[in-house]
Amino acid sequence: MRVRMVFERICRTIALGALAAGVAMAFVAHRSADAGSAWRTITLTDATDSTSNAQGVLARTVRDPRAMRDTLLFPLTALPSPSTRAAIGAMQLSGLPLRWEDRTGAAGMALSVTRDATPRAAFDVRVSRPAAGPIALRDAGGLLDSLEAGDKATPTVQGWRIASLTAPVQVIAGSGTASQRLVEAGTPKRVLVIALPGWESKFTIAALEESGWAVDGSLRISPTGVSTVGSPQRLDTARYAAVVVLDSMAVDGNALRAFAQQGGGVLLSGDALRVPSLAALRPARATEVRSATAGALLTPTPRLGLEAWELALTPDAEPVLRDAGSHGHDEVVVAARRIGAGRVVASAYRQSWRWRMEGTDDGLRDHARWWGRLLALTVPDGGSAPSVDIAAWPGDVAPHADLVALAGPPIDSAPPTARHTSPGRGFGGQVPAILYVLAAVSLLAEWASRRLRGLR
Amino acid sequence: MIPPTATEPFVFATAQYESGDWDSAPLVPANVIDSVARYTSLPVRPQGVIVPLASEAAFQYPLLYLTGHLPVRFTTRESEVLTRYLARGGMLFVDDHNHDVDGAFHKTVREEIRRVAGPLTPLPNNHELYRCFFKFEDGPPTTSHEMNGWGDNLVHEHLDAVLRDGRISVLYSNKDYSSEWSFHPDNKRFLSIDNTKFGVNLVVYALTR
Repeated sequence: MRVRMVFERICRTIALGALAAGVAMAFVAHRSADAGSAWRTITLTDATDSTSNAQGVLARTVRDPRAMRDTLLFPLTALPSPSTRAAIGAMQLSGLPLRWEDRTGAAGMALSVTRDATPRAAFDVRVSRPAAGPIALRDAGGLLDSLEAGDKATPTVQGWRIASLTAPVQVIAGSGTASQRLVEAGTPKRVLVIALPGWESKFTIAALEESGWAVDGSLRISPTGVSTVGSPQRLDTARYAAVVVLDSMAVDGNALRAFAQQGGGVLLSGDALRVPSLAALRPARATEVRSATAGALLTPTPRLGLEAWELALTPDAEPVLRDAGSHGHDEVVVAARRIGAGRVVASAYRQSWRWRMEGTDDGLRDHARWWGRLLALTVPDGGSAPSVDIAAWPGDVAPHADLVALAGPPIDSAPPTARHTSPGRGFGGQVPAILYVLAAVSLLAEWASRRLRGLR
Repeated sequence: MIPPTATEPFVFATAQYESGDWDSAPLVPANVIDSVARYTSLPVRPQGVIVPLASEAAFQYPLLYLTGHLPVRFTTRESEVLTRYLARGGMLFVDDHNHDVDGAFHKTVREEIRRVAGPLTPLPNNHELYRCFFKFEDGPPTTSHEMNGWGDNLVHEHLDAVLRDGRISVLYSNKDYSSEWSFHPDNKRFLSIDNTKFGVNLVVYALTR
């Protein structure tokens, strides 16, 4: 009997001890959680497909009161959808401490789809990717092209010139995908012609229109009268791809310079090279007139049949085209220079309309081509495609960069103290359950022993 | 010293053809030239030129004026030059000096124009030809020959044209501007309204469109 009483006391002691230990451990754990920043791993199964699932996880995380004290860790195996990224960004902005771990393998890819400002309005597709690897380009119609892996592990920018495609455009590199849902409708920019009325301006405008350009012009007929072509407006790179100046004295050199600085093209042809207000802009100074060669308009070298200025290039100008000159050697007839983001091109020929009217039957076509090519020098195809404002281009053009911008750079690896948010055991999962089992078993054994002795 | 710019002056050219009387309105060029110089700042050569239609020289003058009373039959060479001239962007202004839709000039020259350029169609009275410098709200201005019942005794409501790429390639008039404008420019001072203003529009349109 005495032994059994001792046993029962031991059981009670064990039960009470276990309960006390459990309470003490829970208290200690609670204090330590309050004192230090715990890492809590949030697993988003989302990535781009089940956005609603990811959004639900984020919503529950935000509602959890511990979200304000724990550092949330997102180990991402795929880039989240734009809306999920936006939610993460909003959490970041609201002050929730969060970090993310990059396990996507899709870092740094970006897609840009723009259209040329030229009449052809071709698509300029560019892809930036961090390392060499095969990439595939798709549009709504399917696969367009693919590029094999390069031999360098450095970031590369690759691109395509595509005459026609249908949005959305998607580029796939490894596990990464970037897409652009909308592509600008593609209204080609216009050309502004500044000239005095005359056959040169008339046929230059005609040639540019035959090359596909939409032309605006303002031709002063009298001191108070202006004849307009198209609907000329203020000089602006948003409306005009280039300005063609033929001969006009009434031209604002400062406005043209600002236009070129901002990326516009300027073409100075013939007598425009003698306009004083354009002296600081021109790639070449016109010195003296080279006479036309009689009858040459009907030969295979019709430009010899045009009068031309002899050009003295400015130091930063580059010769673009040389034709046979009057001194027994070739002379520069087209030159170009850069001003800011734009180009200024000079053409030496005067009265080019004679090429069309007085030349051979091919003169009409050749004259239009000549002007189209001169203008292309100022507005190169794709060479000066405008930068893309990501915010203005709906789509997912740079998902990784977007995530970094919203959530900050990723951490290298998950910290060892990271804890999972799965339901815990005991008091909030912080106290080993064995203590409670031990207490329950001890109390049960003590109770059974007492009952077997006939006590209550 | 080379001038900063030396814009070539406009030269009024009258087309000379082998059939008919191409020189029936010798004072028209001087009158139009006078009006262009009077109302605009366009450089213009004081004297016009006469250009044989059979000559390649026609290509030097992208605006040609053609008139007459008598039947017009272009030679093969004239047709060939005129076809190329129009295809390259030249503009031909033809005026019926008879002001008569039953006249020989009207019947024959329209047929010739159809052969070299295509059929003439009415030019809308709101065409930019009528507002590129002076404004003619009602289309082509009427002439005293229309109002006085001469010729076909009709007031022609519009001009006819052949358009090419949206531009007037051939402009045809039954209104007899050749008679209306055939006076010495000095006599404009006797007119309350200068009736040659439409000629300025014609030149401005040719130079700018």
